[in-house]
Amino acid sequence: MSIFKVGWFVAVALAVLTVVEYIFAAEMADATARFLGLTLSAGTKAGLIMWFFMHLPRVWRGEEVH
Amino acid sequence: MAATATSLPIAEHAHPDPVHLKRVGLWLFFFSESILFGLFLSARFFLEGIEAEHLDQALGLGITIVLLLSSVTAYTAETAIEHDRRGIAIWGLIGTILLGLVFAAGVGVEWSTAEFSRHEAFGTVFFSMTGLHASHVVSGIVLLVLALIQLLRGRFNSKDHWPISGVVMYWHFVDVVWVFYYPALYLVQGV
Amino acid sequence: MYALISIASGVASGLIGFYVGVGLTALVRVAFGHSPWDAQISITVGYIFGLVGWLMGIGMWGAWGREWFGLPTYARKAPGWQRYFVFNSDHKVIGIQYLVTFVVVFLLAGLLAMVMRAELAQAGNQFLSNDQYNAVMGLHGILMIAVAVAAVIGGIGNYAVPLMIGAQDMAFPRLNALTYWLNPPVALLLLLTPALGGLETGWTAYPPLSVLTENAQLLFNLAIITFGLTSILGGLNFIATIIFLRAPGMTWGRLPIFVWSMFVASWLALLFTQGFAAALLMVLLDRAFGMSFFNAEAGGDPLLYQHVFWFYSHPAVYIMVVPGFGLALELITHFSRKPLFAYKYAVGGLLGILGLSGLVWAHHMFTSGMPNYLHGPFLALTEAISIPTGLIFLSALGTLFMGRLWLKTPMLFAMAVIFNFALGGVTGIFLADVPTDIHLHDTYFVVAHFHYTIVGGEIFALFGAIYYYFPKMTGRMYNETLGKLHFWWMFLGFNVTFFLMHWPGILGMNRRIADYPSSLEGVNLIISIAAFALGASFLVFVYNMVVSWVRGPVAEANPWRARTLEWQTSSPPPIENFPAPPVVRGHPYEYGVPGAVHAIVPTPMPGGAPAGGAK
Repeated sequence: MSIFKVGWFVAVALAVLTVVEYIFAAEMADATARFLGLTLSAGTKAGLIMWFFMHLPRVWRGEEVH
Repeated sequence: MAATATSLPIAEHAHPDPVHLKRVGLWLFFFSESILFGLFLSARFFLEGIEAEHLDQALGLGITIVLLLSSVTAYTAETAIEHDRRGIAIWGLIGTILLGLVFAAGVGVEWSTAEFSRHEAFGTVFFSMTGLHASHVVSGIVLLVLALIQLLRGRFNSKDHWPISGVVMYWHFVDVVWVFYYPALYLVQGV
Repeated sequence: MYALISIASGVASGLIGFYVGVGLTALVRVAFGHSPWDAQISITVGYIFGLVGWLMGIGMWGAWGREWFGLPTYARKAPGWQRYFVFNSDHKVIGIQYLVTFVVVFLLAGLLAMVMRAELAQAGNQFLSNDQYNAVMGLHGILMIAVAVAAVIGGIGNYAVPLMIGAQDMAFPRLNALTYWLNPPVALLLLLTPALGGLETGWTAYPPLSVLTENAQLLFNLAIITFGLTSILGGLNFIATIIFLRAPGMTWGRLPIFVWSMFVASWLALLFTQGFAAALLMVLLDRAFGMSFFNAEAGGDPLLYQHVFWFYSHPAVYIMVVPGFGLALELITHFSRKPLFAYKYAVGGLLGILGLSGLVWAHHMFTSGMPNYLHGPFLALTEAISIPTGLIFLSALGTLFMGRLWLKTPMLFAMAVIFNFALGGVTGIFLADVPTDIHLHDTYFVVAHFHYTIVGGEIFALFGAIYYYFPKMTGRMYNETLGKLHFWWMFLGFNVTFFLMHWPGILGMNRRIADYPSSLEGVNLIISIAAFALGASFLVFVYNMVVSWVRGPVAEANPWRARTLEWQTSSPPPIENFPAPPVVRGHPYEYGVPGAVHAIVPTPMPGGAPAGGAK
């Protein structure tokens, strides 16, 4: 259904990132790189959730008519 | 009605959209809460660096996926009620509540099978961080149930659904916290 | 009768909530094979349930809670003075509730200071044991911190900000009422601490002592976490109000300076108060569950507490003093009959304080044993914050310069703020510099310094604002002669007490201790006598306020001929603030500028019910 399209797209992105994050943590031996990589991935996931799921842009764009 | 050129300006009090006002207020609350969560996260690195005791990685990954999925169902519920798709909204909320309960149960299993005690430093940060987060999960479930009850009784439509939007935003916020807590507790020391 | 029903149902459902919480804890504990009662856990859970019960009973259930279950809401209507005892969401009522509550708390905590000075008038222990002295000092400290955080923001801010920006009420009126009604349980818990052993750790609650000490500490932690919540929710409400509810034409560049200072203080409260909550939550977890945040033996670190605690508690001094600056500038410009000098720089100064305040906390920790490489940056950043503060002084002095000073009581207090804070700021430099701070740390020099900044900077502004807004709030005028008497008495008493206190501090007299070397007796006796004089000055204040509120002459709408919006409506204002919405056309402080207009406001209606007492 078209109204949920954004949701499914973000869900797939979050799932991919979570799995990549896990594999990255398992494979990366360097602690600093691991820390930075995990921070980056967590930041991306949080950004996706806040932007699309929590409708962050509505804070400054106002309530849109759907 | 045409105003004459000489009349005094007729003004209205500033009347912002009440939903918009509540949305911004809720974001400010999240901003403040994220400092609380951030300080506990900082305490983890301050006390333990990236060290960690043994944790059940499969369980951790599992409950993380469950919580992310619950965000997707919550988003579905909110989008559905915005388009008056009441049936989908009800099932979205029920799914979110069930997935939330599964997550809380997963944390409970992790707590009861942990191989370290809360009296040592890693146990302190692990139990306090997951506990603080779980308390938000539980309160989120309570709020979701309240919203669901009203939805089942026929309230809410595409024009009037702020309580659902607000609760769902809170649920996403709890998810965002876990997005940072999960790698900080489970992954950062290496799997 | 309405008041009695409201308070009684609040107390009753609070007590029911407490026992339900204790009972549930006992059930869960027995189910898991523990003893039914554990002081830490049972009291904590009981308190949380009791707090919710109290709020619901006082009227939140009817006004708000029913909505969560899809039921229609109602508000208890109470006439006259009784409206101050119900869950009332009018910002003017809440402002006066805050103000009266915290003036009472201020006087109570002041009495405790009198007890301390009586004990310290001579060396040796007079009539207090060391433990009793600690309890008195800890309670004085935390009650005064609460006054400093809440009296100006909650009292003056709630009352004046919506009026000054031409709004009808705050953005979230019910949240505002909730914010106020969270305060009585805080006061109750703090006043109960002496019954459970008294506070031994002062208001800073450093571990490991705070983890090991009496259960009074538990009440302290619960009280302050609740108090932090009021601070956060209040800040949130002010931010939303100032952003969204300004009258048409009230641009950011036309905002009265006090509203700007409230905006900055609200952001500080919203962002940093969680630090105090987090620090005390960690202490609570250590106490209740044997966790090891601060237990060095098990891998914890007491320094963690100091970092988290000062991450709040240094910005907290700006939460206290920034609205004081705003009030001082506001009063100085009205009573100098001149435009505010360097308005934009003053706003920049306030924003500069907002930006820097989160980066200076560790100057409280120069002697704590934190890593040496942190000393330099925190020294430099702390010194840097005097630059934005200087801009505020520039604005104040520039406004006073060549002004036609109208030396009414509020103006005297505002000018005293500038004088006192200059002294407090200068002594701050010695505490920000590592070499001098290592000598002066934890001495009476520090006590003198922070009383000069907080009492001299904020509490003087608070009293100035009380006199300034008294006619607006009550519809009656205070006695000017008694007001001036109060000012000079308080000003001299304050300056003698705390200026002299620098001296034993430099000589190494430790704060927080009931005794001191007998060589310091003379100066301490003089300080004590001056402190009693300072304390006595508030009798004049209380007499003036009570008599004027009941019998004072009726005040006009704008006795100060001020241009800001709150004076363009009747005294006291009608419930909707303005009979018709104002339109802002220009800057608020253009005194003496020909043709300048701040706002077009419809003619105020004469009369209106006094805000308290008379009807």
